[in-house]
Amino acid sequence: MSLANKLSLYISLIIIVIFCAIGAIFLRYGAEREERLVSLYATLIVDNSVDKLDSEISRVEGHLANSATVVEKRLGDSSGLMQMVEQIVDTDSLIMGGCIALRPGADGVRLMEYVCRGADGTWQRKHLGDTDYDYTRMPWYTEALRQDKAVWSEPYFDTGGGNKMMVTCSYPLHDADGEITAVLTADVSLGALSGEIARLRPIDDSYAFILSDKGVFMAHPDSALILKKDIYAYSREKGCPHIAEIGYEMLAHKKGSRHTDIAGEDALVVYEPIPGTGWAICSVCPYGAIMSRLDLVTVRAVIFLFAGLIIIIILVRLVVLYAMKPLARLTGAASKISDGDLNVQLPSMRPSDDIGRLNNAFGEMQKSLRQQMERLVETTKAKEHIESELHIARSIQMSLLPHCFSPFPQCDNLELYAIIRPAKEVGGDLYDFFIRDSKLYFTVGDVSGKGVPASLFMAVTRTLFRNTAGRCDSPAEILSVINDTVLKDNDTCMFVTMFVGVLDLITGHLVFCNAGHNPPVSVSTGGVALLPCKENIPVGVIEGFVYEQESISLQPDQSLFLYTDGLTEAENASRQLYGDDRMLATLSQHSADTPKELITHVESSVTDFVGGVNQSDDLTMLCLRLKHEDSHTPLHKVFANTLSEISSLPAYTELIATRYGLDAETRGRINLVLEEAVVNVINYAYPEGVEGKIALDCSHDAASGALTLEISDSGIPFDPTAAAGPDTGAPLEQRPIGGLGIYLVRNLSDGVEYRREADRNILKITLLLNK
Amino acid sequence: MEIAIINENGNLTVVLKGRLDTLQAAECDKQLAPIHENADKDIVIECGELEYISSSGLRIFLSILKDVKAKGGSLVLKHVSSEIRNIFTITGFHKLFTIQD
Repeated sequence: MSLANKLSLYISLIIIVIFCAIGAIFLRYGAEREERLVSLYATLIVDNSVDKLDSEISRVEGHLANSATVVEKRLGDSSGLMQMVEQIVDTDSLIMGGCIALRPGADGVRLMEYVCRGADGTWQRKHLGDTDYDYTRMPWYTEALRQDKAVWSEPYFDTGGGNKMMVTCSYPLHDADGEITAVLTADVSLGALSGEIARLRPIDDSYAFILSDKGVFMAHPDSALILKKDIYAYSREKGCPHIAEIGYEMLAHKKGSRHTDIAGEDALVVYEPIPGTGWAICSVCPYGAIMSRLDLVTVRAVIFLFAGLIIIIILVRLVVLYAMKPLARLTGAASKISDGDLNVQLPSMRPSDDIGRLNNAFGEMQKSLRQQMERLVETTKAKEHIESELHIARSIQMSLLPHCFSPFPQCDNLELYAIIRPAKEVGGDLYDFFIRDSKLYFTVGDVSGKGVPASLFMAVTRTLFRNTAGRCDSPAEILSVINDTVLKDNDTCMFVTMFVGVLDLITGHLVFCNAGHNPPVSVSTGGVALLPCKENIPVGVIEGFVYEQESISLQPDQSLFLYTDGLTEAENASRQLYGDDRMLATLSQHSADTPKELITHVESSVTDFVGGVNQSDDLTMLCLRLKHEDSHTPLHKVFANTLSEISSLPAYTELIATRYGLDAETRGRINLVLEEAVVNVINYAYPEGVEGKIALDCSHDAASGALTLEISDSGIPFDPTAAAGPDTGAPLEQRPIGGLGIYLVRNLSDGVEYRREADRNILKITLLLNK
Repeated sequence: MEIAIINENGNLTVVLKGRLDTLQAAECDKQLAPIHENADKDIVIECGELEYISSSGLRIFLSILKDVKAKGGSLVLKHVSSEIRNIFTITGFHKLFTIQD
C-alpha cells in the first residue's frame, strides 16, 4: 500500500472514530436535553393554560361580582330581574346563560329568573321559581350559601338549556345587613375550555386532561370519559396505579411533573391545579413521541455528519495526494537510478520540506554514484590493461616450456609428461627437458616467491639451463654454472630450488643432482617411495658452491615423479596441507599407469582435496618412465617428408647398432642405405608442397641373421627398384651426375623389394648380418 | 661438417671433415664454388677425416672431376677411408678418380 493510501486510510479512520464518538455523545445528551425541553415546554403550556383558565374564571367571577352590587339594590323589583340577568349574560360571550335565584324567605316563595343564549342567538327566558325544579336543593345554590363566596359547580350536561357540558359559577348576593338574599349564577360552556385543552399539546401525540375537584374528567381526548368516569376508576380500568397516584397529587392541588408509566406507556406527566376552582390540569407526553422528535433530529444530524465525513475524507485524500505528489515523482526518478540510469533528471523541488531535503540528498547521492562509477570504469580499464599484459606474459612464459611430449621420434621407449599451473597469471615454477646425444636432460625448479618477479627469474633460470645443459653433461656441473651465473647479478636475493637429471635413454642410467628441491618419487609396481637425495643448497644462494651429484639405474617400467611444493603444500578450506602421504597414496594406487595418467590422477586428487579454495602456490609436475622393451619389438620411427629429418637417421642407426651389437662398418652401411632410400622417397614420392609421414621399421631375425628395414610412405605410387642402374663401367664423359642413390641401396644390401599396400609405398631392404 | 680450402702457390687443397650427407651436400656445393672456378689448377681433396658420404656427396665429387677434366686441371683424392673407398668401388668411381694414400 502506498504511503498516500496509508495516510488517507489512517486519517479517515481517526475521523470516523471521532465522528462516531461525537454521535454517541450527541445521542446521549440530546435525549436528556430533549426530555428537559419537552418537560419545560409542557410545564409552560400547562402554566399558560392554567393562567388563561384562571383569568377567564376570574373574569366570569368579576362580572358576577360587578353585577352583584347593582342587582343587590334592585332585588326588590322582581319584574326587572330577568332583564338584569340578560345584561349579565350579554357582558361576556363566554357566559352561555345565567340566573338569579332568590333565597326563599319565611314565606317560602321561590323566585328564579333564568336566561340563556339560544341556538339561533335569541334569548330564552324561563321563570323557574314556581316550577317543580327545586333550586334550593341544587348544589350550585347550597354551596354558594354555605361558602358565602363565588363557587364553581361540578361540570354537568345542561339538559335544560343547550345540551352542552357546562359549569356554573354561583355568587351569593347580600342585603344591607350582610345576609345572603339571593344567588346569582353564570353558566359557562365547557366546550370553550375543551378548545383550550385541545391546544395543550407541547408535542404531537401528547394530550391533556382536566380533573374536577371530585376527580372526574372534565376534559380528555377520549370524550367517552368526560363526566362519566373519575380518574381512580380509570386507573383501575387500565390496571395502572401510577394514574391514581397522579390523581391524588392533582386533587391535593399539587403542582409537579414526573416520569411515569401511563397505561403501559412511558410518559412525561406535568400537572398543576387551577386556582379558585379545585380543578387540576395535566399534560401527558409519551416518551415515544419525544424520542421520535429526537430520532428525526438524529437522522438529520447523522445525514449531516455523514455528508461532512465524506467531504472531510475526500479533502484529506486530496491533501494527502497533493502533499505526496513530489514523493511519487522522486520515487520514479529513484527507481530509474536503481535501474542504472545515473543521468536521470531529478524533479525540481523547494528544499523547504522533508521531501525536498530527501530530493536534495538523492541528488547528492546520484552525483557521488556517478563519480564512483567513473572512477570504477577508469580502474577497470587500467586493470584490464594490466591483465591483458599479464595474459601475454603468461603465453610467453608458457611458450618457454616444452609442450611436445612423448612419443619422442628420437626415442620411442621414453614416456614423459609434464604440467604447470601458475597460482597467478604468471608463476615461478619451471620444468624443461630435451634430448641430446641419446640422453634426456631434464629439470624441475621452483623460484622463491610468486607472480611477475618470480616469473622473470624463472625465465632466466630456464634459459641458463638450456644453454648450460646444451654443453655440459653432468647435472652437478650444470647446476654449478647456473648458480654462479645467477649470483653475479642477483641483487634481489632470489633463489631457485632445482632438480636436474640426465637420463641415458639406452641404458637407463640416471645421473641427478638435487639443489634444495623436493625429492622426486620413484613409482613402480613394486612400491612408491621418495628418492633419497644428497642435500645441496638451492641455486642462487652461495657463489662457488660445489654441487654433489649421484646416480641410480632407472628400471624399465619405473616412473620418476617430480613436482614442486605447490603440490604437497596445497591447502584446503580447513588449512590442511595435501602433503607427501596423500601424494604417495595416489601414486601407489596408479603405479602401473603411464606418466600422463599418473599426473592426471594426482592433479584431480589435489583439485578434489583443496575444493574451491584458491590455489596458493604455483604447481608443477613432471613424470617420466623408460618402457621395457624386448629385442623382438620392432624399432619404429615416424617422421615428416622433409630433408631435415635426415639428421635423425644417425641416432636411429645407432639404436639399431646398439640393439644388435653391430660393427662400425655395418652401422655406416645401414645409415647410407636408409638415407638414400629416404631421400629417394622424399624427392620422388611427394610432389612439391605435399606433406606426409614416413615410417621406419627395423626387425631382426636371429635365426637367419637377416636385418630387415622397412620404409613406408603415404606418397604417390613410386617404385625405386624399377629404375635402371647406372653403367659403372662407362667413361667419365658418359657418367650422369645423379642416379646413384637407389643403386647404392641395392648394392649395399642383400635384397630390395617394393610393394604398394593400402595406399602406401613400402620398400623392404634386407641385410644379412651373418654373411 | 667442416670444409676448408687451402691455397698453396695456386695449388688448391680442400679439407673435408665429418659427415657429407644429403643435408650437408647443398652447403658443401656452395662452399666449393672456388674449386670450380679454379678447375684448371692442381686440386687435392683431403678425405682423411671424412667419416661418411652419401650419393649427394658423390655427385659433388663427380661434378668437380668433370670440370677439372674439361679445363685441364688435375684432381687427387687423399687418405680415403675404407668405407668410402668401398662405395667408390661399388659405384665405379674408383676407375674415374685418382686416389692416393
